Amino acid sequence: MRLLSSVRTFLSYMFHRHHIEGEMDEEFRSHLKNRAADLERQGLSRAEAERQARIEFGGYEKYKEECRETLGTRLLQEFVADIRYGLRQLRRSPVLTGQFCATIAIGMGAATALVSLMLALGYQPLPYRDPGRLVAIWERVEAGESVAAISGPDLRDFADTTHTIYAVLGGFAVPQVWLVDRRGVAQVRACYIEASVFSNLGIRPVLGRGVRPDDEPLVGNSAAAPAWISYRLWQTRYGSSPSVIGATIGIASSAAGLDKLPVRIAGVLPHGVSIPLPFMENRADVWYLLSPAIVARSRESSVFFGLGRLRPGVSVVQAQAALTVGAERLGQRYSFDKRKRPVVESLEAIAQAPARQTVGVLALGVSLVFLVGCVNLAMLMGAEGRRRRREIAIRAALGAGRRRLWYEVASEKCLLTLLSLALGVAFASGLLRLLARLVPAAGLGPALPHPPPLNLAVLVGFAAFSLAAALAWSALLVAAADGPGSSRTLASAGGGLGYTGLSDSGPRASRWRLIMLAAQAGIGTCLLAAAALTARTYTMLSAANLGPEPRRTVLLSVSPRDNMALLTDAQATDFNQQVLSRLSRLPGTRAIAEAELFPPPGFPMSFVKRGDAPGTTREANSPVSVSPGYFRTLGISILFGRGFNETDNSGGERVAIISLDMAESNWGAPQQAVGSEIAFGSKHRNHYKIIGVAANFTGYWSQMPIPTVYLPQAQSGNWCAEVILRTAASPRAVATLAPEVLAGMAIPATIADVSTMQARWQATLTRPLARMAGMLLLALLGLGLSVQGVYAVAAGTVAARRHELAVRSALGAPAGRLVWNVTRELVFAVVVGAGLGVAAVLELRPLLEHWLGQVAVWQVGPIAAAVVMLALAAGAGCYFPARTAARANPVEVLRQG
Amino acid sequence: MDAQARILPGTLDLLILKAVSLGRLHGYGILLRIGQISKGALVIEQGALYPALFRLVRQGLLKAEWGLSDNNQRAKFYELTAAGRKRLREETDGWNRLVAAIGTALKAGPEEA
Repeated sequence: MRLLSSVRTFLSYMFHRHHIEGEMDEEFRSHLKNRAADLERQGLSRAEAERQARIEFGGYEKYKEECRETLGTRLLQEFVADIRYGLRQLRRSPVLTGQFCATIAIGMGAATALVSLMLALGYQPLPYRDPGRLVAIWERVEAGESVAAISGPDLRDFADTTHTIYAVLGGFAVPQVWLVDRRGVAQVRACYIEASVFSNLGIRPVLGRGVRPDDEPLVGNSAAAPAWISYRLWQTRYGSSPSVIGATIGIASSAAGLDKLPVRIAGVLPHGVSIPLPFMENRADVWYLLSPAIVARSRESSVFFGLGRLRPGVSVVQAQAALTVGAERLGQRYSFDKRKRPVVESLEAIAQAPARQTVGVLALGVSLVFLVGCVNLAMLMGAEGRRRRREIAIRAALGAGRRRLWYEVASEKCLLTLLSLALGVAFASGLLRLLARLVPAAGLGPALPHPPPLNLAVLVGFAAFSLAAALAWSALLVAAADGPGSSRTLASAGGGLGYTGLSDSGPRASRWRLIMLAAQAGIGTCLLAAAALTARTYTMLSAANLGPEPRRTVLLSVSPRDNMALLTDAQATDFNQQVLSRLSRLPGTRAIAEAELFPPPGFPMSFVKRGDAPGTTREANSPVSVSPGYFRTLGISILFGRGFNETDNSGGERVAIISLDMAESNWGAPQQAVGSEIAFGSKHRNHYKIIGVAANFTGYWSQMPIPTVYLPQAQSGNWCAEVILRTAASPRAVATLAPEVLAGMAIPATIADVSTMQARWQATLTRPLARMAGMLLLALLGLGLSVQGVYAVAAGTVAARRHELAVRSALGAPAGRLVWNVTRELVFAVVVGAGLGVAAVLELRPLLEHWLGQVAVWQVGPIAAAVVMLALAAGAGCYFPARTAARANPVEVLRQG
Repeated sequence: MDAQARILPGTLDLLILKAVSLGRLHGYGILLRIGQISKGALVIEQGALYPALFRLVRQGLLKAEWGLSDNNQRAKFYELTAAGRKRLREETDGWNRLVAAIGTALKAGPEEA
C-alpha cells in the first residue's frame, strides 16, 4: 500500500508539478504573511515584521526541497535539471557534440552490423543433426600436407582409446563403383558408411526406410544388402518412381561387372545430402553399410575418413589432444608409418573455412575501425576535458559537491552516449540490411531468409562499454578539476600572465597528443593499405585473359547419359566428334572446341625429357585432352610449332603441345621444346612428341601461368566433358537449342552447367569482391574517422597553445613562423604514425596473404594517398587555428583566459 | 537559562498530530497551537513544519484542503484522518511508556543496582 501511495504521489507530482509547486509557494507565503501580521501587531514595522518572519521561517528553498523529497521527487527534479544542463552543454559545443556522435555511431554501427552479419553467416548450420559437435578425423604426415585417409584398424583403435571424448566415432569410405541394373552399367560414387555415421548425422530418407539394427553390410556372400540412393540418382536414373524401393541392383568394382554384388534399395536420401566432408565435392549416389571385413583390412589400407560426434562439453582441442596421445600409444604398438598424425577438425569449421577468410579480413577491418573510434573518443574527451576543467573547478570552488558535479557531467555524457548509440543502431540497422542483400551476390552463402537481427550481445556490449567509458570519464574530469590541482586550474581561469595551464600545454600533454595523432595516422594508413591490397588482389584476379568475346563464349558440360564407363576409346572419340559436329550446326557458331576439363586442372604431375639422366624428374600439371579447335576458340596463340589437326588421331604418332612457361622452364629457349620428346604417366612409360608451344593461359585460379600439357583428344581416348562454343547468337539461344541438336545421338548425351565464360569467371570473383567491398567500406569509414580525429587533435592542440602563441606574438615572433612551428610538429607526428602503420601492414602481410592469396601485391599509391590525406588534415587542423591565434590581439587572448 | 527546549528528534510528527487533533488548523495555526499547548516551552524552526506536514499527508495520517483563514486569507487546512487518530493514540501510549520507563530508570537508587 505504501509503495502504491509513493508511486501515486510520484506520478501525481510528475503530471501536476507546476500546480503542486504553486501550492507549496502559496502555503509558505501564507505562513509568512500570518507571522508578519502577528509581528506587526507586536509593534514591528511592516518591513521589519516581514524580514523577521522570513528569518524565523528559515531557508525557504531548503524547506521546499525537503517537501519535494518527502514526495519522492527530488531525484526526478535533479534528473530533469541534469538533463537540461546536459542539453545546454551539448548545444554550446555543437561541433564537439557532432564529432562525438559521429564517432560512436559510425564506429559502433559499422562494427555491430558486420559482427551481426558474420555471426549470422557463421551460424548457418550444416544439414546434419547438432552439427556443432561433429568432427572430421583424418591423418597428415607433416603439418601443411594434404590430408590422408585412415585405415580401419587405426580408426577402431582411435575409437577404443578415446571413447570418453567421442560419443560416436565411425568411418566411411568413398570408392568409385559400377552400378549395374537393367538400364546398363554406370560409374557412380558410392559411400560405404558405418551405421553409426548414418545415425550420427541424423539423415532420414525421404522415401523408404532408415537403417535398422539387423541390416546387413555389403559382403560377398550375403543376400541383397540394403542400400540407399541419392535423390539425384532417383530422379535421373529412376524417374522419381516410388517403385524403386525394394528393387535389386548390382554393385561391381569393375566395368565388366563380373564381381557384382546385389543390393536392395531401401530408401532415397533427402535432396542435397552429400558425402559428409564439405571439401569433397563428389556427391555419393549409392550408400550402403560398411563391411567389417573392409574395416579390418591391414593398416596399410588407408581408405577411411573418420566422423565423430564429441561428447557434450568436449572441445575440438581436447579431442585432438586425446587422439594424439592415443596415436602415440598406437605408434609404439605398430610399426606402420609413425610419421602420420591424426588430425581432428570441426566439420563446421571446414565448411565455413572459405567464408571465414572473408570474415577474417572484415574482422581485421572492424577492429581497426573500432580502434580508430576509441582513439578518436579519447582525443575528443581530452579536448572536452580542457574546455570543461575550469568551469568545473569554479563550480567546485563555489561549493558544489563532487557527487553533484559528477551527476551533472555524467548525465551530460550519458545523454550524449545514448544519442550516439541510437544513431549507431539506426546506422547499423541500415548497413546490415544492405549487407544482407549482398550476401548471395558476394558468394558468402545462400540468401538469408530475413535480414539478420542486430546482435543483442554486441549492442549491449557496446552500449555498456560506451556508458562505462562516459561515467569513468565524467569521474576523471570532476576529480581532475576538483582535485589537488584545482587551484592551479582556477589560476588559469583568470587568464593573464598568471596562466599556468600546465596540464593543457605542458610537455607531457603535448607528447600525449602527438602519440594519439601518430596512432590515428598509423591506423588510418594500415586500414587503407589493407583495403588497397584487397582491391589489388581483386583487380589482378579480375584481369584474366578469357579469350575473345567471353560474353559470347558458352561453356557446356556434355556427357554420355549412361554407360560412360563402358565407352571404348573409339566410342568416346565418336561421341566427342558427334557432339562437336552437331553443336557446330547451331546458328551463329563461330568456333567450337572440346576439352576434357576446363579450365585446365592444377594437379601436379612428374615428367621426364628424353635424354634426362636417370632419376631426373620434372614438374608440370596433369595433361588435358582437347580437340583441334581448342586454341583458336580460346584465342590462345601457338607460338612455336603447330597446333593439333586431323592427323593427330589414334593411328598417328603420340603428340603434345605444352604451354610457354613449361617450355621456358625446361628448355633453354622455348622453341627448342618443339620436336623434343617427353614421357609421363605410370613409370613415365607414355612418350609424347612436342609439336607446338602455346601461349600461357592464365587467370582462372591464379595470375601465375600453369605449366600445362595438352593432348589431342583423338589420341587420349578420353571423352571431353566441356564444350567451348563461341557464338554470334545469344548464349541463351545456344542453351535452348543445344539439347535439341544433341537429341537422337547413338550414345545419348546430357547437358549440364551451361554458362558463358564471363559468367563462370565472375562466379569465382564474388568472394574477393565481397572482401574488397567490405574492406573498402571499412577503410573509408576508418580513414574518415582518422582524418576527422587528426583534424580535431590538431585544432585542439593549437587551441591549448593559444596563450603561448599570443605571448610569443606579443614578444614579436612573426605570425608565419609561429604557425609553421606548430604545424611542423603535428605533421611530423602524422608522417611518423603513417610510417608505423606501413610497418604494421608489413607485419600483417603474411596474415593478409593467407586471407587474400599469394597474388596480393604491395601497393604504394594508396598508402601515399592516405599519408598525404592525413598530413593535409593535420596541416589544415593546425594552420587555420594557429593563424587565427597568431594574429589575435595578445591582450584580448590573455584576458579571455 | 532559556526556558524553551528544542524538540527531540522524531517527536515533531507526534506534536503535529496532537495539535491537529484539537481542531482543523493551517500550518501557522499548528505552530501557534504547539506553542500554546506546550506553554511556549518548545521551539520549532518554522520552515521545518512543512516537510513534516507533507510527510504526514503522504502517509495518510492528515488530510489537507484549502480554505480561508481568520484574516480572510487562503490557507491550507489540515485535519486528522482515522489513521492519524489511531497513530496518535499509539504514539501517545508509546511516548508515555517511554517517559515512565526513563523516569523509573532515572529515579533508581544505589540499592536497586
